[in-house]
Amino acid sequence: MVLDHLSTSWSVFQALFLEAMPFLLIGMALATMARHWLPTGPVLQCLPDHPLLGPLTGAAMGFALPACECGNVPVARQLLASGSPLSTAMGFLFAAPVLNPIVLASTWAAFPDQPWLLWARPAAGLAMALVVATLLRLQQDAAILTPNLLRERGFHQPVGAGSLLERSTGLIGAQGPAALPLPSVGRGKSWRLSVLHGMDELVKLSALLILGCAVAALLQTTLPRDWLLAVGQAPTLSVLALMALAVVISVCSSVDAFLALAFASQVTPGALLAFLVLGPVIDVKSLGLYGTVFCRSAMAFVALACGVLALLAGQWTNFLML
Amino acid sequence: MNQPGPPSLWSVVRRAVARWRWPPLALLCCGVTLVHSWSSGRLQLLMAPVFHGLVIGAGLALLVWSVTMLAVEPPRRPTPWRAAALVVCTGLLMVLAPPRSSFSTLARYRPPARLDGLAVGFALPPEQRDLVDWVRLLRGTAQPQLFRGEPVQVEGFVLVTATGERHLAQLLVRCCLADATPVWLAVQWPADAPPPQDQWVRVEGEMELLETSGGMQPVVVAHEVTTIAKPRQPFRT
Repeated sequence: MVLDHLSTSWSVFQALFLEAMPFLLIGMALATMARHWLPTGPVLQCLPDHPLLGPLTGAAMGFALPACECGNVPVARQLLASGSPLSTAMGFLFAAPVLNPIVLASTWAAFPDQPWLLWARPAAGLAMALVVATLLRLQQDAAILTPNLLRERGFHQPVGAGSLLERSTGLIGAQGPAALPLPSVGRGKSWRLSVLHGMDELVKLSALLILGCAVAALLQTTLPRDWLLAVGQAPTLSVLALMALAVVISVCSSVDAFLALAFASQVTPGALLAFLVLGPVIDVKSLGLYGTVFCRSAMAFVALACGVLALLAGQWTNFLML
Repeated sequence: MNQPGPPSLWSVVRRAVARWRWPPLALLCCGVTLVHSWSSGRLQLLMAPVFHGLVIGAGLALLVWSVTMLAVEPPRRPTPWRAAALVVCTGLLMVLAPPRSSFSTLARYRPPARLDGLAVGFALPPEQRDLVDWVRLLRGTAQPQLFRGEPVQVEGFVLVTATGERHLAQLLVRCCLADATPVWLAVQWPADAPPPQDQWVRVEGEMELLETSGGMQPVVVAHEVTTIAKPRQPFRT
């Protein structure tokens, strides 16, 4: 019995890893190209840092990148490292897994008889991205980003933009130089550095992906889904249960709508929406990847905020439709 | 004056290991794992065919990338060798230990699959309907007695439910095993030897309405049960 569970977990782990790895590679390739070609520093800083326009711009960028959550984390990290405003990068990070053409098309294909989901899913995903990005924008970069990312980001930001502790020196209110000097490299050398950097990043992200897939696979085979779905038509409990299921299952956002079909008739509409909105942003597999962007406290804050927002979206939907 | 002692064996090993070209080695391992999963046929056990091209393409890209880096890039330090070592070990383990899932264990606590969108032959003669066709047909009718006495010839694996019942089942997979959900037919097995859990079998018999714990239900009364090999792609997409 135990051996059956272990061997099944091992198979699910392999399936999750093999399915996620191509998306991670695509995301890393885009991030590497962005690192090489994307204008850094002053140009990226021209992207809006407005609490509404910033996340909206990020979400619009996400529409152009048909990748799931595994693919967009490295791109969002590269945006931040290149000096993009926090709100734009966060808008991209949290909206892209829901607001991209493949996810919208799969939602339409899975639920052609439930047209309300076709607009409710992207609308709730966008709202979640806006709120979380705005909440994160209220904090200092140093309070939410990892030290490594902060160091990379520091190369592309005006010294005056950092706190005194980040700057290590300087007078209050004094204008700093435009940005820390970047090492000057030739074109060929720069490509080489970008590729080397991309390779190191991919290796680190792959290791985190392995850990995430391992936890997700173990939970998948040990936690009976029947327990979670037993709450069925209870408005709040069904939303909470499907949120828990979304976090555990860790399936790619481009196909999660088909999975949701399996239990669509057993749960409330709000629970279905919460599953489709929360799963692409927060799951066991992607939490490991977020570790390359957020420090632990910020990651906990993001998970909590997304959970609360998904619960509210689900409750509101149930209030309107039940 | 304190003289530094000789380096410990562990520090020597760590320094030597850290000098390896871990990142390209890790990517090479990943590429080999992805391509091997396809060439060995394991991919068909793990995910829907629509994703196979993506895995093969990623595997080939990783192979080209890693071999190029190994050929042209000199060793450098520091490299993320711990993360790379984990990737290498996982890749090797995936190549050496093939997936052997118990479909019955996987499906036992999962809700039954919805069958919307699957191609199905309603007009097929009864003996040509497969398990999914039968399940869809029975779910879609309010009068299952119409199918009493029709011949049944279906294949699937033996699913043992949490209550100990043995059904004939197939998995429906949209993406990969993580989202697999089962469909099943209740079967009245021959009394002498019900097949073991996870065994793939062909059941020949007829459809009947029998009294079960859930009331009158359509049940396949098996006349002949033949053991068959696990199909190359053991689930419906």
